[in-house]
Amino acid sequence: MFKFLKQSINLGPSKVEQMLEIITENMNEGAILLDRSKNVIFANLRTRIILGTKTDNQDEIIKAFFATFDIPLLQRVETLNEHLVLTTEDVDIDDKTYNISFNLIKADNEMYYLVWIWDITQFRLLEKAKTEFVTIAAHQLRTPLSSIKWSLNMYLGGELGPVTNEQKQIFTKVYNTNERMIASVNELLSADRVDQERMQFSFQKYSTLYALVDSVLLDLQSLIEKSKIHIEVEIQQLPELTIDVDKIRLVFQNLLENALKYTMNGGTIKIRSEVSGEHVTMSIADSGIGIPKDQQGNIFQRFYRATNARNIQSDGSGLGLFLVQKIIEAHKGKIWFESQEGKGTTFFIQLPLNKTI
Amino acid sequence: MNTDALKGKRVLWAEDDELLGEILEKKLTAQGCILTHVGRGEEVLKFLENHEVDIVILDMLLPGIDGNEVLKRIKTDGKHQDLPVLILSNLNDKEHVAKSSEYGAAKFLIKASLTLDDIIQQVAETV
Repeated sequence: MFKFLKQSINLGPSKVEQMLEIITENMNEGAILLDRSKNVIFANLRTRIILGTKTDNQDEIIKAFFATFDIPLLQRVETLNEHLVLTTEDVDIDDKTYNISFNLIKADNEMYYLVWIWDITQFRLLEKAKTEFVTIAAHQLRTPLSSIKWSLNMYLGGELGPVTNEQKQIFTKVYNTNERMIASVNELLSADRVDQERMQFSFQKYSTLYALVDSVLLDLQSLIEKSKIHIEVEIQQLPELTIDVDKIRLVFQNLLENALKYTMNGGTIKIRSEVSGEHVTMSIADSGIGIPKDQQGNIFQRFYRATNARNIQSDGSGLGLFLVQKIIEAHKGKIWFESQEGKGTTFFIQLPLNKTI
Repeated sequence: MNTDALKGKRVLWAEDDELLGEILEKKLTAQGCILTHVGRGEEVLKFLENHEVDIVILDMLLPGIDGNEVLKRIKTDGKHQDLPVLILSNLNDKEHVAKSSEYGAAKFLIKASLTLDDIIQQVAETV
């Protein structure tokens, strides 16, 4: 970067240093650079402000850092590699909220630790405001919806006087429409909770993905039998993965439920695994309705449902794939699909092998 | 649905929405309940000062003090710690639900998720 600065603005070394100092000393994030033995080489002004110290002494800065942030993360920096960044959970201090991340940086054959301190107070406040808004809006919508629901309950139950068959038919439809609106409000609330709770993960070493898939299939047994869909499973013995078992189970449950819902009776679903290089790739291929080409870019969006899916199954939430993608991303994996309308869809999940997450 | 479980039971119920109030009043009265319907949290506490009831049903968002505050005061007034209190609200965010449970609500029911018959059944089970 020094070289880049010098060449691009044609300045001498001391001028470059001065400019870099202007940048680092005026940054909004705290930055601390440590050498491989964890001695402080540099801490910028924002760090000293956050830590409430004016010292330049490296031991004092480290001491102030741990006095302020009581975090056990420094022991874990040994597990860092150049591709992995360790980030803390939210740390609350007085009325501020921080995230701290540790990065391993290689420069001129030396290794350094770079610690960033992010003040995310405003971001969390905004999130809180959004959640409060959703909660109140949901409440305001639910109250009139409840009035309609209960009034129709009484009306259809004949408690307000006799009801003709024709009235019953129409008002049952009104009742069902109202129920759909209630369901939409509930989905709005669940979607917000997904964000709000910023899903907590608990990773463990796991090597029996086939057993996990089997147990999901067992749960879906009655649906499978009813639809007479033929299921083929070819999952080999896999190397060890580091996953959150419950969350990955949820991924398979969602993908298999979708495959079952959107495949016509008598169709097939094939579940396969493949290990290559540093990854395991699982695929779930169905012979279902497929995803229309013009809508393929949207299907991981929250609430999004393809038009043909809505036609078959009117009561889906549009949250399943949104959740699935969030879970796979948290595993540093990838998810994608290939689909042709009327022919079927194959979802692929790629998870890294032997990686500490 | 008709159940005799509620016949003659004294129900004190706080709900500020007019239509919801009217419907539930019709329904509970048809079950043979002796219903007292109020629109404000304070009125619940005032009524309990010199009346006995078998169950209290509270909305969460009420004019004046909210459902949880009414619940807390009922449970700590020294006379009504055993009186079953049911929360019947559309506001079911984590904080409100956790508080209701902490203060001793028998149940937390979401209006929009239940039919009138479900509610009658829940009240009958709680009373």
